[in-house]
Amino acid sequence: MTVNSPMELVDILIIGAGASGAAAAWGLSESNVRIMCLEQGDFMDPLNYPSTKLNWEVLRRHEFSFNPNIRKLAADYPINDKDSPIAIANFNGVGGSTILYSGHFPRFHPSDFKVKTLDGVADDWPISYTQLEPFFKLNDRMMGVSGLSGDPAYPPIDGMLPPVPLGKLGETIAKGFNKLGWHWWPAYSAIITRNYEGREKCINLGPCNTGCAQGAKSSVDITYWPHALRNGVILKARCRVREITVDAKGSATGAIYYDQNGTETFQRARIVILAANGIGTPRLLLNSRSDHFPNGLANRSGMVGRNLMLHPLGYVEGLFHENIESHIGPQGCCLSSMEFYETDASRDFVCGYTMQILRGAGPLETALAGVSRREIPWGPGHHDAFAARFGHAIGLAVIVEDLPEPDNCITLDTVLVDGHGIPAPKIRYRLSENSKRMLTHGLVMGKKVMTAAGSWKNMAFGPVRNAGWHLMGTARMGKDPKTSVVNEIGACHDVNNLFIVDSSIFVTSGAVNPVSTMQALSLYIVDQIKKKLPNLLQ
Amino acid sequence: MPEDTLIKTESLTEDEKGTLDLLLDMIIPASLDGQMPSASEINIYEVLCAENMVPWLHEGLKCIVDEAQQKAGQSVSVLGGSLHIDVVERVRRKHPRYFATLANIIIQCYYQDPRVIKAIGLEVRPPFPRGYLLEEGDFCLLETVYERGPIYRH
Repeated sequence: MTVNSPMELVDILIIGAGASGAAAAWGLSESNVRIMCLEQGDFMDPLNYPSTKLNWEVLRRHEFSFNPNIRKLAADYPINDKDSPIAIANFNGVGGSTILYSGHFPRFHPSDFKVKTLDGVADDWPISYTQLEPFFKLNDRMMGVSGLSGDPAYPPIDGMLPPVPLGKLGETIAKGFNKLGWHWWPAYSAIITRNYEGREKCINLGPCNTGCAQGAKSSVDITYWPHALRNGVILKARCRVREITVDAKGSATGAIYYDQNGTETFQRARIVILAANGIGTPRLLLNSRSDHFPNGLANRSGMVGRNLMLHPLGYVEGLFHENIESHIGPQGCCLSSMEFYETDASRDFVCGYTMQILRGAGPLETALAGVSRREIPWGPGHHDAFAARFGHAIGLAVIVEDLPEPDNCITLDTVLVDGHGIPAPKIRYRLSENSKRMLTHGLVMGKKVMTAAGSWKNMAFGPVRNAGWHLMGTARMGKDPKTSVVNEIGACHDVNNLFIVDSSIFVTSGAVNPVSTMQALSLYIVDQIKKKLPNLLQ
Repeated sequence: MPEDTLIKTESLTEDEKGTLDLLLDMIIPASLDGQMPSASEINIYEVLCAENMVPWLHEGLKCIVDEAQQKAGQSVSVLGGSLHIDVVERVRRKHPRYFATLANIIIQCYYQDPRVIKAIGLEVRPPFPRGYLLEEGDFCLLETVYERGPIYRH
């Protein structure tokens, strides 16, 4: 039996307290409206993060794994990704996947918003980099971002804190890039390198992607949420939404969710905003069936769940004779290269990729990876092989632009369900020929720069299975209701008071980590909502 | 040690315990300079007991014990020369997944052990709250990159 929420009616109901939901909540919180956010995960306690414990490397492989199928916390839902070469990564909690992201924070490039015009593939976005620019800047200020102005790969970006140090590792690989005449630039990092807004600066704990106990990594539980809560937003944790409801006219009326005690509860709302990520959002829409929407809410186009983009990732590693202290420093934030980002007609693929330099692994990860690749043997050679790698390795991630393919999709699993009996998402994903060619190119170029930097041995492989962090495209934005789910201000074509602000609305994927762009987009959309609030609330 | 763990600990025979030590030392022996301990010097056995993995461990060790009996008619722990290695390798080839899992567990225990962390030159402490010092690096290396001018498309 469904009971009514104690708070009978809210003006705006946000589903999901991660990167985009937090930005939306804060963005709307000064509008004198009643806002509630439902989050299936719990509030986080940084003192429980792995970096506070000696066995931090073991913990990241279990309860702090980025794979929900390994983590299996009460807040998690299973994901059937057997039909995909890339496993899905996420985190469910206040802060969402920013709790476990590495904080690598580049923006999409201007060209990413118009690939159809420039390259004749996929579609243009209905908005431009220029329209998002003020929201990128606002988001950088709210989050706390470090980096260096003057990057030739971008229009001017300023107002950042000083960049994360390069360290010996960064300096070593930078010389390799310079030798080849290739672009590189210090990482845009959602990590504060100076004390900022009451938070203390980075002290190089290392494993940013297990949660930052220092609070220097800009996860939204410590950036946007404190401001939004102070402004009166109600955030209810451990509340899992099952479906969004509609009235006889097909307008959203609220959501049915399971509260902390497992009670099925109905929350009425005048406006609903979905911010449940590129997997959770289509899952919820597909599970919200009604007479009006027999194929899932806002799915008259049939596009809900389609065009999943994951950024296939290649990995290159170079080993160096010198101890470059590669185990020290923020793992995902050192420097990156956009040398092969933009389309070049001389290559056999369109669009491009980023090379993101990764700092080396801790001792356990070094040993496990070395043994599994048979580079660190059992027996007498074990210690020498370990010593040659630990502190001596540079990693390089090739982040490939994934073009939208309708057959790469999310559906509802007919057997697998979560702890509340809600169908799990089922992933079907293949790499396109363009992505495969790009990946191959990236792996070759990655080895080339390692050699130029002085490595004595290189290895490369891809796509990496456990790398499905970037979940995009499954409720795409567009002007045509026949081919897209939301319009240019994030409103669903089919449901005028239902908005989506997460990366499921991305038209294309760019070739950089999506969080910065997703949050700028969320701020842009709520800015549009604010302008229309009187009409929407009627 | 909890009572139920004691019972499980005792469920390994002496021969199996000897075989386990031999196996651990085969995977990670002590370093020649004595700096790095061998895997049998680490509390791996206790971890396996606490994790309720003794029955699983027993299964693998029994294969080795049986193989040694079958090939040499004696316990693997008393086989001389490289004979014990041959026995273990034969069993490993027959059960690759089992041995991959075992090696994984052993490595997880070994590289989190304070003696090992210290021996590889790290401080025995979690990263937080002291953190680490990271050299700034030479940002002047960017000069040539900057001078190249814009490379993005409008």
